[in-house]
Amino acid sequence: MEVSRKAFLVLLGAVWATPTLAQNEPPRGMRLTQDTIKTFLENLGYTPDVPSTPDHPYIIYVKANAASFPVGVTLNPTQNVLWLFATSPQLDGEGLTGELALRLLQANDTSGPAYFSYSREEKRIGLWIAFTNGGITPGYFRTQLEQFSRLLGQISAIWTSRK
Amino acid sequence: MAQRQDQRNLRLAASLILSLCTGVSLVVPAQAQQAPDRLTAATLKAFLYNLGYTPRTGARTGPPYTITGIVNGSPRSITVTLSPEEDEIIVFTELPSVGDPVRIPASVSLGLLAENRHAGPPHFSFDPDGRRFVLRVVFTNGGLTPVSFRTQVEFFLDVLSRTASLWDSSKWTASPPAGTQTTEKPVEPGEKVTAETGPVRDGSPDNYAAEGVAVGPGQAAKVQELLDAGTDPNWRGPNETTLLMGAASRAEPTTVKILLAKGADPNLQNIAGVTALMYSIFSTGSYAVIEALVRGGADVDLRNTHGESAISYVRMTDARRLEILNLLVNAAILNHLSVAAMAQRTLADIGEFKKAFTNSMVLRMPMQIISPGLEPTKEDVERLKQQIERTTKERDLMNYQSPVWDEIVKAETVASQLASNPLPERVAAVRAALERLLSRCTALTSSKEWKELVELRLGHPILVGDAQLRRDLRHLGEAPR
Repeated sequence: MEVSRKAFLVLLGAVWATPTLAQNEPPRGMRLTQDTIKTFLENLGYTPDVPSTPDHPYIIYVKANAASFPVGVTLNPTQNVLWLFATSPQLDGEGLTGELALRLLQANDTSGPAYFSYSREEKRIGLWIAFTNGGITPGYFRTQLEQFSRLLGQISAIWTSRK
Repeated sequence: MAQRQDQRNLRLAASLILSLCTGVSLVVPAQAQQAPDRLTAATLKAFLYNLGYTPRTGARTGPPYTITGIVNGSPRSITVTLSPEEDEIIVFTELPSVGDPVRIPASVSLGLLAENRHAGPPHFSFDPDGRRFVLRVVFTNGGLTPVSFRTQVEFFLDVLSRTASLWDSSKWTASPPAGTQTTEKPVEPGEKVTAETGPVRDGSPDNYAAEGVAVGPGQAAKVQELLDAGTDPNWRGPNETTLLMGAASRAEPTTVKILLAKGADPNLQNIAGVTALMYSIFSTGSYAVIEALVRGGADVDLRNTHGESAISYVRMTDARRLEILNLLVNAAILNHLSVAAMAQRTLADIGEFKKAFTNSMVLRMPMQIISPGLEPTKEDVERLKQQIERTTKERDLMNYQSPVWDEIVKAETVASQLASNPLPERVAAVRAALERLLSRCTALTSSKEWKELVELRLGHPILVGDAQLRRDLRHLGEAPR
C-alpha cells in the first residue's frame, strides 16, 4: 500500500508538471510560416480572418477604448520579419499636421518596439511592430499586442477622426 | 495480492512518467537547441565581433556596446544593447540636437514619420529631453541570424544616409528640406508594399528604383528593355548603390547577367565600399548570382571601408557556405596568379625600357678633334666650339634625365615586390609608379632641350621606348592619360 501511495504521488507530481511542459505553445525560437501564423494566433485566443491570397495578411481584431481595430499579421517576403500593423482611416483635408507628426515621433521614443508612421500619399497613420521571426514566444507576442492595443487606444481620437 | 497491485500501480506510474518524459524530451531539446539563439550580454559582444565590428564599452564591461558605421562618408556611433528583460536587442543612434523643438519644420516631422512607413523596421523617434531625433531598430531576441543582423545594420546606415537632410538641422532651410521630396520612393513594379500587406522594405539596396528600372523578381525582361533603350547600366542610387547591387541582393541571376552583359561594372563600390558581390553573399547567398558576378569579373579582393573582402562576408551566409567559399578562393587564387604573371611581364618590360633609356643617355666626352703638335685650323676651332656647345647642352639635359632614371628605379622596385608577392592591392602602387615614369618621360621628350639635342644629333634619333610601359598600364587596368 505504501508503494501504491508513492506511485500515486509520483504520478500526481508528473501530471502537475505536465501543463508547463506540454502546453500547446511553440517553443522559443520557433520560426513561423504563413501557414503556422494561423495556429499561432488561434492558440492566443484570436480568430484570424484568413487572407484570400498568401500575399495578404491575417487580420485579427484588437479592442481599445470600446472600439475594435483590425490589425494585420503577416510575414515579409524573406520571412525574416513578422509584421503586426494597423492603419488608420484616411485623414481628411491636408492630413496630419507637423505638430501632430512630432507628437507621434515623440511617442515612438517610448513605445518601442511599436512605432508610428505616416503615409503622405494615403494620408493614413500606421502603427507597426516588427518581430524577428524565430524569436517570437507567445508571451512576448501577447505583451506586445497589449502594448499595441494601448497605443491604439491612446491615439484613437486622432485615429478615428477624419479631420 | 495487494503487493502485486502495488507493483502494477508502480509500473503504471513509471510507464506514465516515461511517456511524459518522452513527450518532454520532444520539447526540451527544442528549447535547448534554440537557447544559443538568444543573445546575452556576453554573447552579444561575441556576436558583434564575429560580424566584424569592434564593440566598445567604455569603462563598463557589458552592454550597451558601441560600434561604428559609415554615414555619408563619416563615422557614426551606433549603440547596441539588450532590453532589461533581455527579450529585445535594441540598435540605435542619437542624432545631433536640433535645439528648440518649436523650430522643427513641419516638413521635417512629417518627412521622418513618412520615412518610418518605408524604412521599417528601423524607425525615427524624437527624444524631447535630448531634443534630438533618434533612429532605432528593435530585434526580438531569438532567431536573429548574423546575415539578417548585418543586413539590418547596413539598411539602418542606409536610412541614416539618405535622410540626413531631415534630421540634420544644419541642412534645414526656409523651404522644405530636399529629402522631403524623395523620402517616399515610388513603389516598384512587383513590390509588395500596399496598405494591406505592410512594408517589405527590409533590405538594402534591393528597393531602389532607378529611372524606372526595377531589379526585383520577374523584372529581367523589363530591365533588358530599359537598358536597350539607353538606361545607364552603372546608374547609381542613394549612397552610390548600383542596379547590379540591387539585382545581386535580390538573387536575380538573370538580371545580373543582363546588367553585366550591358557593361555594368561589378567592381563599383557604394560609399561603404560594399560591392555587388558582397551584397549577393550577405543578402541571399545565391550561388548562381555569386558565380555570375565572379565570371563577370568581380574582384574578390576588393575591401569595404571596414577592410573586409567578399571572402570575409562568407561567414555571414547560411547557404552553400563551403561551395561559395571554394568559388571565391579559386577566383582569388586565379586572380593572384594572374597578378603574378602580369607583374613578371611588367618587370621585364621595365628592364627593356631601362636598357633603351640607358642607350639613349646623351652625356659624352668631347671628341679629340685636334691632332697633337699641329696648329689648329679655323675649322678645328669651329668644330671644337660646336662640340663644347653640344656637350654643354647634353650635360644640361642630364637634369631632365635623372628624374626619369629615379622613376625607373622606383617602378622596378614596386614591380619586383608585386612579382614576388602578388597581392592585388599592390597593383595600384605599380600602376602609380608606371604613370609617374611615363609622365617624366613625356616631360623629358617634350622639353625644348631634348628637341634641340635631337636636332643636333640628326641621324641619331633618341628614343625612350615607352610603348611597352603604356601596354603594361593597360594591362594594369588603366591607360595613361
